[in-house]
Amino acid sequence: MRNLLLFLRRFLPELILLFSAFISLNLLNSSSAKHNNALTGALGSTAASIFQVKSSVSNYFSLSEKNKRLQEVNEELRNKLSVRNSLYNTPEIKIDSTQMLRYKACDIINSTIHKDNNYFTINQGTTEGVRAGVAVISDKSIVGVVTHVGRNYSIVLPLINQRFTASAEHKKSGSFGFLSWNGNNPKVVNLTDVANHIIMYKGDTIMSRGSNIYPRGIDLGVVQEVNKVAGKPYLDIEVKLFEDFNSLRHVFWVDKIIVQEQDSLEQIQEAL
Amino acid sequence: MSNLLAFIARAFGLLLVQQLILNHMPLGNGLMFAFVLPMAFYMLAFDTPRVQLVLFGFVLGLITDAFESSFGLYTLAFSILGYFIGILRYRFYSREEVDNRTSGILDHHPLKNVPFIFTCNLVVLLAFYLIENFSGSGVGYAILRAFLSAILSTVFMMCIQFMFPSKRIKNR
Repeated sequence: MRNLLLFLRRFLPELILLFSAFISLNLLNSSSAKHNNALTGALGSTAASIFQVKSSVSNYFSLSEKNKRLQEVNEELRNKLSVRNSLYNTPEIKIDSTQMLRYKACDIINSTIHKDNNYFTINQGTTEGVRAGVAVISDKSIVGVVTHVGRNYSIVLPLINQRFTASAEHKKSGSFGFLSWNGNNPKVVNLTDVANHIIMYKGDTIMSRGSNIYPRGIDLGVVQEVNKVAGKPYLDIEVKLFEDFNSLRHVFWVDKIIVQEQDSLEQIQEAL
Repeated sequence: MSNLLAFIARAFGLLLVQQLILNHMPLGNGLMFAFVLPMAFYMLAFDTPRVQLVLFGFVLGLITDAFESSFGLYTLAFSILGYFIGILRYRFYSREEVDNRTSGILDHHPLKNVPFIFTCNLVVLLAFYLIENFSGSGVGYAILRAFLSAILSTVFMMCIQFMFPSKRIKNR
């Protein structure tokens, strides 16, 4: 209270001046059309600025919800695209109809990237239909494969795990090799066993080759360095990944429906 | 209380001079005019607290606005003037002079008051023309008018002070 009184005493002239300005501007506003227009304009633009800031803040806080919604839309579109691809398999559009895929969006809730054997945890499990062996991809790259499934969570063996291998191919030439990680840089993986007669340049794109697990044609990264393996007819290629695993949060698990059907049929056949 | 009464008496006299004579003789095709009303404040500059100066400005502004039918314009300009007199007086006069209640600004030789009066005139006229203009365009013209009017007003105030010197100056 004492401080308040001291403040008032100290700034009383300024406060009276402000009060006077308030009264004067009100008088001007009501008596002069010119001042009224100018004040209305100024107050209008100030109010607009405040609303803009308010809108930006509320947008920021609703980003999470919007992100989730976008993921759902993305998932829906990917599924539609997958079905469409299988329907429109014409000579003009070369599409591998065996790639009938089902996408489901999920979030990475825990991950390690600095160990030799990193792993990710996603927030979906058997309840959502996840099973061991389904691929996990992001918008930019392959992420890994589900190895263990719980009721609500699953463990993913990511590309940056030394036990991970996947088949990948050089987009230009179609030559393929095996992708693995040497445990050093989480942004770089190695593509091995590519025949050494293949001409490969720095910056060439490497994509997934397709398997029972991974869809074909997902870009993984670009060639960073090409080395010849001494005494062997192979190249050892360093691939710089498109995906930054450090900031990866939103992914999709991908189910190859036809493979699942194929597996089921084969199991039935074996049981007979 | 005596401050207030003196202020009212001087302000009323100056208001009459302003309204009846000076407002009817714009110079330079309306570019400038002599504005002597603020002199009522300058007489109070030495022995009046800042709060009272702002309040007197507010009251005198309201009265002038009533005469001029320009509600708010003089009220704000004079409030600003009252506020700035409280600051500027210490820039142009020593603290002893300002705080010594036995003397006033009119006890100084008129020429010694020129810098203070001109600066205060410039402040009030700048406030007046800028509030009157109240838009981004024409600011330069408003500043020019304020500057020329401040010079003219200062000359008029010096003349008034020469014509009606205080008793102390007479006795010297």
